[in-house]
Amino acid sequence: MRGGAARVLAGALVVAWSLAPFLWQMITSLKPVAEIGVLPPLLPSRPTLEHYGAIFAGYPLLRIIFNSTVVAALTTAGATGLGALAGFALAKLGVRYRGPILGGVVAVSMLPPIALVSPLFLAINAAGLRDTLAALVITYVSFSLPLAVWLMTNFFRSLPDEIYIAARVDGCSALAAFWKVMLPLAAPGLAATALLVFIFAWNEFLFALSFTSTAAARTIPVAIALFPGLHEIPWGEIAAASVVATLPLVLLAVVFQRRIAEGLTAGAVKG
Amino acid sequence: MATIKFTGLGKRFGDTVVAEDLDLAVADGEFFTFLGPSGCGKSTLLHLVAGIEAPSAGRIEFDGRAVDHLDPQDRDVAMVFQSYALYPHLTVRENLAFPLKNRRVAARDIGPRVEEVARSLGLEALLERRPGQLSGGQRQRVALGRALVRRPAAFLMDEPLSNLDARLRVEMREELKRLHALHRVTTLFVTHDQEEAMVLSQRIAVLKDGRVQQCGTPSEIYHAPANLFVAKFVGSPEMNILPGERLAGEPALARLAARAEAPVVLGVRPADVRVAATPSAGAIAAEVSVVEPTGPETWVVGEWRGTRIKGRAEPGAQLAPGATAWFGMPEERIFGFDAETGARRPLPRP
Repeated sequence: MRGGAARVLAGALVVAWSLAPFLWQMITSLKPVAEIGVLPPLLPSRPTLEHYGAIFAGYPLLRIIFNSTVVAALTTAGATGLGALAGFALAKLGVRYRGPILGGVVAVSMLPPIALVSPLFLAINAAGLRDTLAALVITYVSFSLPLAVWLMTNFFRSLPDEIYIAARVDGCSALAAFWKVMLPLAAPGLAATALLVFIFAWNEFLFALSFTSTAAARTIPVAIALFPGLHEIPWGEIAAASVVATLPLVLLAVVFQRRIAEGLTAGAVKG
Repeated sequence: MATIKFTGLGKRFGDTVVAEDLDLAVADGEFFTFLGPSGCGKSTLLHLVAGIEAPSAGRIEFDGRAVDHLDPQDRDVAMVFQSYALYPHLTVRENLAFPLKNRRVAARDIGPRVEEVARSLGLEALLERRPGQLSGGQRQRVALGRALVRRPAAFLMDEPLSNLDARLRVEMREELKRLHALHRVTTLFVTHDQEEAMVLSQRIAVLKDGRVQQCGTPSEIYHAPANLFVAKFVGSPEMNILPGERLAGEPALARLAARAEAPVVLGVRPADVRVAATPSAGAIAAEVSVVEPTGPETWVVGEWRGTRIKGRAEPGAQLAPGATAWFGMPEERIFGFDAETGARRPLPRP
């Protein structure tokens, strides 16, 4: 029983450690202005929604959330789609030099983004894409592809070769076998990859800050950082916006968790 | 249905030779087996026929037409795997319909054909289940059904019975033989189980290191093995080998060995060796080490001059470990194999 208690305690510590910053933001977002930045009280004496009202009124937060959603969704679709195709080919089609290719994919993802901001900014400017969502989507897809390719390769490798061969013999071209058989079986992996890419795209700050200049293409992390304050930093509004920005991710994680946990390959081969 | 012909077929992965200079012709409707130890490249041969792998040399023809340029989906073969390889996200019905849909069979024809195959394999009650909800034997039937439903030019079967337990394996073996007799589809079967090969096949090719050691009917392979490898691989229990240099003390066997043109080892199947408690002409004396009663037979293992020898106990013979027994073998059932190459050497009567 003592082992059980220790486990519960350890679990509680991890949960507290992970949740504390988020809870802090939530508490802050509900505090009246006078109580922000002072302790006690820990909890707001009079919970208020005034900050939430403030961020939606007179500020294009809806537009910015829309931007973030579009960018993250398109990035996810692009990166998981391309990543799944590449991963399938690398895992099942006997591609030559698979090792060097996968090594190269990891190598390019090691370049620090800050080193690439300036050349990319020039390229995007030259292409006339500054302050557009397309600039962000293209950049994010290329930066999340190494992860997507690597993850999907491993998921496809874990599927038995015989199932692919069976599909080919049963009349599928390589692409049809991918679409009708391999991709449905890799769905848990696809969901996991999509979730990671979505979170990356939703949270990305550096490129979003550099490539956008107005609310037309600004995303949430940048909007929160640049929140307009008249004489002081509007901590209450920032906290409220952070909470609003975090909720979709929490929701997605909950939805996808089930999918990822599903053992879809059960019964494919003996065992 | 089709004939299948290999001409000078070769396949290597780097330095590993899987097949070399393979010439074979499989007749229309024949049940042809590749028999060999695990890891001898038998599965790769099926992949070459299916078009999953490309040969390094030589050519494959169906009905006299080269198929090397055809993709797997255009070759009209069906495959059954040891792991079944069912599509786990589809129901049994969808699994059976899958090859038909891919070949653009009209939707109104798919239903009846799926039903018919399901009925012939006793799968009607399972059509709406998924593979994960089936037992091993049921999955194997679905895998067979998925191959049968299309009436392909050839069946390629890669150790299809090896994952089943012993009882079910014998049952499915009968089923396979029945289905082949019914449909007469050319079948290439791969197995490492010599008994399975003997029971099912019209002809067998015994493979070792990518080369055919012998190709013939089960009876030819068993009664006239081409070399020592085939002799030891086919037949259970494994053939006894009596090395030539130990024969000096046994005049009858030494005389027999001397008939060959080159130094030989002698081989005799345990089923042909009679073990008695009393001496008889030509029988060799050995100390009994193990007695294995199996019901209909009792196998006796003896130690003879440092060599293990196995035989069938005569009815009523009282044999116990430690006792001396006499292992008698009829001359005409003894094979001679070249001591150097292992090739069979005839032992002609003088």
